[in-house]
Amino acid sequence: MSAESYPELQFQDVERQHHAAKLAVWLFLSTEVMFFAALFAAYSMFHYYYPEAFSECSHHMERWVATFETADLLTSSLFMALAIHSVKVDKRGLAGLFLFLAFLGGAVFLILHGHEYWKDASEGALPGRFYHLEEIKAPGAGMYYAIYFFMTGLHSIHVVAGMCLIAFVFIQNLRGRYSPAYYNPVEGVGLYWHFVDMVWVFLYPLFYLIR
Amino acid sequence: MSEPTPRAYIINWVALIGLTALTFGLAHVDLGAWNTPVAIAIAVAKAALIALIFMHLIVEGFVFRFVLVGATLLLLLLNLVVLLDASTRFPLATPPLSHRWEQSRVGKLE
Repeated sequence: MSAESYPELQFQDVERQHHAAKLAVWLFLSTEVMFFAALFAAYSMFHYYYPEAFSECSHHMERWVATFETADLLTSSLFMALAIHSVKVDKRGLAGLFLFLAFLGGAVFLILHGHEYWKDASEGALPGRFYHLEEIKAPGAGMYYAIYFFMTGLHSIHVVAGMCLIAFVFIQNLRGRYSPAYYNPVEGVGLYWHFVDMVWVFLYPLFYLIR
Repeated sequence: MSEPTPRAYIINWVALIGLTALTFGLAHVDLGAWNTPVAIAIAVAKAALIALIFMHLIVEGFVFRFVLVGATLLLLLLNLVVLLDASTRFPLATPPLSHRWEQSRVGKLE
C-alpha cells in the first residue's frame, strides 16, 4: 500500500480528500470558462458587426483540416477517459498506453494547427492592420483573424499545457505512484484535457462553419 | 450509480464523432437564418456529452453541476449584455464600414 492512500492531515478519509481534489479542479475550470467568456463576447460583438467578413473568412478556412482536428481531440479525450478507468482498475501498463495515445492526439492537433497558421500567415490572413489577404476585401476581415488567432492561439497554449500535464502523470504512472486508492492527479489532468476539448467543440463551428 | 464504463466511453465517442460529421454536413446546407443556431445547438450537445460522460458529471453531486452551470450562465450573460450594447448603439458609436454603419449612412436605421 503506497503512502498516498492515507489522507492528508486535514481530511477525515481518502474519499473526502478525493472529493475535495476533484471539486478544486472543477472550480479552476469554471475560472477558465470565465477566461474564455470574455473572448466569446468579443467574438459575438464583431460577428454581429461584420457578418459578411466572418462568413467569407470562414469559407476561406480549411474546413476539412479543422474537422479532422475536432475528431482528433475527441479521440484523444476518449483515450484520456480510458486511461483514468485503467488506473482505477489497477491496469497501470494499459493506463500508460492510453496516456501516451492521448498525448499523441494533442501533438497531432498542434501540428495540424501549426500548418493552418503557417498557411494563413503566408497568405497574408493576419490580424488587424497586418491583414493583406487579396481574396477577401470585406471590411472587418482583419478583426475576424484577430479574434481567430487570439482564441485558437490561447486554446493551443492550453493544449500544450495539457500535454505537459499528461507527460507528468505518464511518468508518475511509470514510477508506480498511482493505484486504485489514489489517482487524483490523473483524474484532475483528465478533467482539464476534456475541458480543452470542450472549448474546441465551440471554436470549430464559430470559426470554420459560418455559412 | 457508478461512473461510466469503457463501453459507455466508446459509445459516447461514436456519438461525438457522429455529431461532428452532422454539423460539418449541415454547414454545406442552406438553412437560412438557422445555420448558426443549429451549429451552436450541436456544439452544446457535444459539450454536454463530454461533461456528462467523459467528465462524469452524470454521477457527480449537485455542487459539481452547480460549478459548471453557474460559470456557463455567467458566460451567456456576458454575451447577452455585450450583444445588447452592440445592437442598440447609435450610429456614431458603431465602427466605420460595419454593416450598421452602412445602414445608418443610407438612412435605413431611421
